[in-house]
Amino acid sequence: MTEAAQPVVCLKGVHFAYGSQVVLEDADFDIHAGESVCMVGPNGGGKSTLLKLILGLIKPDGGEVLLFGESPLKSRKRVGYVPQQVAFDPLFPISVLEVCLMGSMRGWSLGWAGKAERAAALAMLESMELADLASAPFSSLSGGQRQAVLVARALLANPDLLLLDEPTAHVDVASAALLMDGIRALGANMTVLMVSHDLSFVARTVPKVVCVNRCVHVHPTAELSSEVLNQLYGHELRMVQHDHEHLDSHGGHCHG
Amino acid sequence: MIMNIWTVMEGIVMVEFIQALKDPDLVFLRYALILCLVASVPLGAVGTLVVARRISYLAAAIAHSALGGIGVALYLRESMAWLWLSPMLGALLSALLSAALVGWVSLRAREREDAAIGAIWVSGMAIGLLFLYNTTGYVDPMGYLFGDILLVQAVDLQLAAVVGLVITVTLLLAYRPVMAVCFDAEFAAIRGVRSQWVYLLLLQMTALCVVLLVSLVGIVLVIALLTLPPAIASMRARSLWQMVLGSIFLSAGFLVTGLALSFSLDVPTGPVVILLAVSLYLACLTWGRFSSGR
Repeated sequence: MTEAAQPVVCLKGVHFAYGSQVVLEDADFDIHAGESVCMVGPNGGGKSTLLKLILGLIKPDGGEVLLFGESPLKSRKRVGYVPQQVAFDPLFPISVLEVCLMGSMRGWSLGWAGKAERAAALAMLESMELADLASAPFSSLSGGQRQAVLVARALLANPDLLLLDEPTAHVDVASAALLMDGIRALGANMTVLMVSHDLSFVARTVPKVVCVNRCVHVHPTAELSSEVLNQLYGHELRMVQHDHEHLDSHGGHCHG
Repeated sequence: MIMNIWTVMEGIVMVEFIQALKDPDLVFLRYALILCLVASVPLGAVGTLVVARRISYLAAAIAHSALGGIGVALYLRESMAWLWLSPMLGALLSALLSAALVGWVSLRAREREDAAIGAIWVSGMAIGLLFLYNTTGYVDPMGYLFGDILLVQAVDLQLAAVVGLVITVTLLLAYRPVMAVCFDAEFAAIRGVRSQWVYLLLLQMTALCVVLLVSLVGIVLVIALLTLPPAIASMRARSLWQMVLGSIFLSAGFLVTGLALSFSLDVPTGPVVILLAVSLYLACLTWGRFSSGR
């Protein structure tokens, strides 16, 4: 199969459990080049586990995960990853530029970052309107600014696939929209897979949704109904309405 | 007034200490001073990473389990006449072994990691005490637990210099991957850094630092010197490098001042060094809260 025809991400009958607790059962789905897809589902439903499987950070107990047609361990250098902000130690002394420079590391990257590497990192920060904060401590930034730095770090690797874990969790609606505009401007042909609980953001941003709650189902975003969401989350959802095209009667922030 | 009295006392202590350093009969004091200065570099660097990565608990387990190697080495020296097996070599081997074990448990255990680490911690101490108990003649474990500057020998200085050089060169070369793993191990792994190997390397360097300071402050107190100087430095540092440099200077300051004070007051060095570090840490915390109005 040619590089263009093969899926960027391919899961075949993937099964994963933490001890006796089954997290994913018989998960199957493909993501093709250039697609923008969002994963939704309740907490503990297996979304983060799926991301870790795709990144090769954990191995499936059964089935197969392919990234660009290969094992994730071989091809994950082609992935840009934006983790959740809560994963970071707020007291860690590191500058914005140092965080961004992690994106251009290749293997061990012994020694210090060269001039060209620093210039590329500064240019990326400039494109996210963060160049003035390059020497500021990462911990001193606002939630939205930190998210933008993490996106800049991921994009500095010039990835073919961008994975974002809850990119809107600590930013307001306007900042989230700006962030997505920035991502689209910097990587128009990039494949994007994100996790989000913000259903109105999902409805505005992506055409395809992967619903994850132990099992995996793929839907076009336009076909997401209250019935589908209630089945996915296991109970009635309380919605906050927003104006958007696809989900006028169903979309909004999920507080389920 | 209080500051003036303190300055005069400090001057008297330092003059007395400097005179003692010139005394040919007090060669152990010169050894101890050189060890303080040499050990500060790896101590400040590795301590910064231990604090930044928040693995003080693992470092404490490695430090305490070093007693196992000391006990076994002293026992074998006496019973098998293996005179080449010094207590410091025993401490080095057991600290490196426990660092590998602690790292393996920390990376592999999905649950009950703390209990497994605790088991390694106390097993090392229990093995050490049993072997010390069965060693012919009286061996006081207090010197190894809380430090004794009389234990410092020329071979310790050579060991400290080699270990200090290895750690410094390693960190200068591998600063980027080590920092990346400490800040975000998953992202570093995706970029092709062997995160687990870097993590194990950090634990091995922690083991080496522990052994450097066994004779000076002991295996119980060494964890305070690994964590307090970086914790103080982190209050002002804007980058990891600033924190490393601050920790090195603070470690050297605590060790040399503590050595001089303990010699003048004729009390053990380890507790004096630790109390100095704790006092400054509390003062900085209080000042920080006071100045920020909290």
